[in-house]
Amino acid sequence: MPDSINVLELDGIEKGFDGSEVLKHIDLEVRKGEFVTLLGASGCGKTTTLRIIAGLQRPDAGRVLLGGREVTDLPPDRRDVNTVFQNYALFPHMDVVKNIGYSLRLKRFSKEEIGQSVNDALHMVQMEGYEKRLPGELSGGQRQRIAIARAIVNRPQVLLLDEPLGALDLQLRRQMQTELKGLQQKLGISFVYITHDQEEALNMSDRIAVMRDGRFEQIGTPAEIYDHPKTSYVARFVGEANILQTSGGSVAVRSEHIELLRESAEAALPAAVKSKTFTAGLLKITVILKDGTEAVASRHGIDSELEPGEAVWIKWNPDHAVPVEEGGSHDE
Amino acid sequence: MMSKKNRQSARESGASRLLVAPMYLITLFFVLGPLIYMVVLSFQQRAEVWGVENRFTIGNYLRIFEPVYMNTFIQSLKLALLSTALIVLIGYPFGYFMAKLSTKWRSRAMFALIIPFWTSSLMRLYGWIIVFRANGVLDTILMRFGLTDAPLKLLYTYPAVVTGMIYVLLPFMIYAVYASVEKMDWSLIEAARDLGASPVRAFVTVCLPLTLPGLFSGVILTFIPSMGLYFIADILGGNKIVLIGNVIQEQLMKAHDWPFAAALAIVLMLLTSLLLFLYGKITKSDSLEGLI
Amino acid sequence: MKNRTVLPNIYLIVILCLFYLPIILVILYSFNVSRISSVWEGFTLDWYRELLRDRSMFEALRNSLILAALSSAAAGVVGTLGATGMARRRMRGGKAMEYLSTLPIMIPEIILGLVLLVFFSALGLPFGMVTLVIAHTIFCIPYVYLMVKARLAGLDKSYVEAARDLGASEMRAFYDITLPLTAPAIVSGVLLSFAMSFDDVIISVFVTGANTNTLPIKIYSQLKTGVTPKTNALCAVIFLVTVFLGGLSAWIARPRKKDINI
Repeated sequence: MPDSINVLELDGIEKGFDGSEVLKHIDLEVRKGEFVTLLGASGCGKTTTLRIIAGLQRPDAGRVLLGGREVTDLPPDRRDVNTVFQNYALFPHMDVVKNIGYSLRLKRFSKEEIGQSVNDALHMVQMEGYEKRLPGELSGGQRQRIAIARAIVNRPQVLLLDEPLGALDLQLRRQMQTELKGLQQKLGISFVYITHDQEEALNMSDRIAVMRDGRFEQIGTPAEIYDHPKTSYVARFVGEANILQTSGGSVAVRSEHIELLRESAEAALPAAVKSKTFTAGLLKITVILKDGTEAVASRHGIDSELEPGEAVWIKWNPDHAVPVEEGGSHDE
Repeated sequence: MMSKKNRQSARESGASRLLVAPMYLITLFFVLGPLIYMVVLSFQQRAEVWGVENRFTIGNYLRIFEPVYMNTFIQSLKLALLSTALIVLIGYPFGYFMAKLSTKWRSRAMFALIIPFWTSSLMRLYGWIIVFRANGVLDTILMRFGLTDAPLKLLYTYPAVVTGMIYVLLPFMIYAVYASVEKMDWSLIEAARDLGASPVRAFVTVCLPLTLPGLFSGVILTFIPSMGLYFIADILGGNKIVLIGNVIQEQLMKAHDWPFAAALAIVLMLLTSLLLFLYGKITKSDSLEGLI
Repeated sequence: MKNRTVLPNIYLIVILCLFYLPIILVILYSFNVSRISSVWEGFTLDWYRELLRDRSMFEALRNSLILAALSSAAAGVVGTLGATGMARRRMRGGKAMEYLSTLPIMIPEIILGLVLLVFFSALGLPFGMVTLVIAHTIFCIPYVYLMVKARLAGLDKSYVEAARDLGASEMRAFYDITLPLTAPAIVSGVLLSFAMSFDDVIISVFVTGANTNTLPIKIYSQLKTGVTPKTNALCAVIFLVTVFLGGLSAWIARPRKKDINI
């Protein structure tokens, strides 16, 4: 397939359940070999979108195209898409080899070919030696790798991953992020990845689609999303930006770009210190502005001489202020 | 595009309909049909020599109001209620204790319970005949220990019948309670204890309410059969205890008065359904929860 | 702590003993020389020998076995198909159908017996094996249906979805995933049906023909007229079969590594 054709395209997808609209209007293009993440809070519709791509759910309107071909009405077994489920869904009555080789058996590959492919897949997820185990005998992290192996053994055009790292502890999660990214690049398969963890999204993706209430608020590269958020929701969701009011409208300023001054200065706003915390290696100082809004300034260090109640002024470089649409008046 | 979607959806329902077809057909023809037929029959009159006259009459139902039949209904009801109540008293603790056993012992206890449960109820009742009959096992033991002078002759008495009822139906209650208690989240009891509740109080305020659905299922499973298990009264009660089931059987087999038997059966069914309905309303449970 | 577990355990043991007491007595007295069950006169196997020679007993046994086998098999198929179909799609009138289908075990047996007797008679069906099989199948279906339905409801839907996702058609997914994971429930349902059919008295009494005897019917009539220890022997033999079936059922239903829902 020529590179100009998108490996996956969602065109005007809409979906409702029991009267409420879950997906309002979804447009997405995924290129070959791309790692795209659907990022959003729970309930925003990311899983539904994934299921529609997989064919496990049918949209009320819109089209799904794979490699230029429309597949909207095709059942999941006839789409060149595979899914890594959130709870792994490994067949409990089949051992690891049978699980991984299931799709190949359906395609009636020869025994040798199946054996070879399964071995390759096991090698890729570093689970050699576990061939005869049953899913019930594996730990969460191990099951996750087998689930991935089972999905990639097919070499599908698109691989869908539904919050695959959600159940793992932090250490393992970070490790798996690197492994998954490496795997994706090695195999050249397009990944559509779901997560609510913005750090994960920023680390792994080629592009991020920030989703909210059944719509994409913004689609862009991690840098674009982070440095140039289009709406206040995106700005707040990714990277904890402060939404501040200026004469020209609302702007988003990341906490690391906020400066705290002990004296008034030009273009500085008066505020009072509310609290300070030390998290993730950064010192974060929360201040309250005159109009009641809160802002967070962050910098390296353990502590500051500023105490709660003290008067300060906040200032920022206008270059770091991004104008945003006030789409964020409702809380997430 | 839309027609394709509808076609696919129609195909799926078609397959589902095909799957349930055998069950539906059998049910319609052999459950609903007979029921309707029986209702019709109950309004007919038995003919002099054979069969039924094609006349509509409510005579059968009126006949039920005669004291002898009303008494039988009341007797059956009393026996059913008594048996059920005793079964609850005996069965709930058993199910509860059994669920609290360690996993190893639990499966052993379950197995130990399955055997008698699956053993022919007739055989088990026969065993009770041996126990209860004059100079039977019970009498022999009691007289040996000097507790009584003469044989108790417990066979063919009301207590014998009640014992038989309890004996046959108890496993159902036990299983229903067990299933419900086993599913309970024990950490809730621990939380109650932690908050200062005594064991008894924790049980009453936490365990009992949560296992109530199982108890209710058990009551349903026990009460319904107890209204109709007339052969227990037959075997252990002889001719002394007459239940509605006995009457129906008599009318059917001996008197050949099918319409009347049908009417009796319908009244029995209505009675049972009414009680179940009321029970469901009180307990707000309408299905066999956590049963099988 | 130890004191608390002693009392419950005693209760359990006492009740269990009471459960087994009649059974043990019946078996015990099957070896009794005396005809009267309460007087022990000596050990003998004569009654068993007489049992082996009793043609009518064997015929009744054969009838019961065939009846139970046919009914539980038919119920197994119909009930499983029904539960599967119901689980796939909500159908119009589905709830009513389910209610009707499970009605046979929700009403006193005597009513079912009467209802079927009357209906079969109106249809002019020959009373005997035919009516027995039909009647038994009807009250066995609910057991299978409810067990399979419960199992299907507890089965995580993502297994089938994963199979579809990997390329399995609906039929394939059913065959590869649903069926193996539901099999224990189906088998349990069939075994339970077998036991219920084998033990049935009331309904059999109503719908059987003059020449067809099932074991329970035979024993029942004997209990009413007059027992001989031959009956005990028969019961003892049946008990063995029951123990075997019960053990089989428990063995099949044992928790295995494969069955963990993950």
